[in-house]
Amino acid sequence: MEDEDFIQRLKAGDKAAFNVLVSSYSKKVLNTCFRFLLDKENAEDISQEVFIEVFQSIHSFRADAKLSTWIYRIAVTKSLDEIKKNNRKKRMVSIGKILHLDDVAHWIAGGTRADKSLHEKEKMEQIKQALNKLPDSQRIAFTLSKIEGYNNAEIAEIMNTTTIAIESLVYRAKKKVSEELETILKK
Amino acid sequence: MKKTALNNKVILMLNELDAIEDIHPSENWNQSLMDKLTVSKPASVSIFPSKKLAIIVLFIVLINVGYIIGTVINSSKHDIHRNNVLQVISKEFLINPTSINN
Repeated sequence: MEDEDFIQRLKAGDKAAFNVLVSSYSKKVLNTCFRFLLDKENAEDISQEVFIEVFQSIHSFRADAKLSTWIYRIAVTKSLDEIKKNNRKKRMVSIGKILHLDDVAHWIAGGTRADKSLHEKEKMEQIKQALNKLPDSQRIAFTLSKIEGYNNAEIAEIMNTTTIAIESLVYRAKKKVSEELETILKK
Repeated sequence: MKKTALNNKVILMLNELDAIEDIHPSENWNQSLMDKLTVSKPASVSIFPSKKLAIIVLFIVLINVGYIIGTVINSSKHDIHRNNVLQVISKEFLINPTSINN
């Protein structure tokens, strides 16, 4: 999968090679996006965007990193961008609610109501709120550390840092998330 | 809420976050991706919009530079011609200050 010949086939636009790549990485990319976004539909869309980006920029891939590392980096960046976009949307919804524009707020929010129970949804929102307070580096390290298949060495490679730094980032992230959850639950 | 109860609730929530199970792509995920891929092209094939914009800006800058250089050359030629005319006038009509002293 990582060999030069396979990468050359991808760069040449070989459709079969790309299909092999998608089937090999789709599950891990999808679950990476899901762990960041905590929403299946959103994660499916973003994971597709990851593969489109891979397809479009494979020619610029240099072998200074592993192909898998490069793909997971794209997945992390795309997921963080989506989180920021969703947070902006949420702020707009809050403004809509303040101004009593309930219909507009509902439309901005996506227009559909999740079928999960309200309690479950609320709990997930609280976790998301706490995670949103983390700096990007802590969030990436913390989230990836929760996904099966990523070890500290691989996370360090994706984040271009050392395994010791990852351990410290995960520790600080866990502490901060706990503090934030405490603050949220106190309200 | 008491501190211990609060701590327990936080721990429960963190455990729930840990316990999130892996998801599987839905049935049409692959097909939908392939549909999107057929629409999109590799970046090397299509010129990136900002690259197009840069080319247009460069073209405008080159036209402007050409116009400025042309104007400068023309005006310097005009200046030389005017200087020559003035020299002729001064030679023919103006009295040399040294001749007045004499």
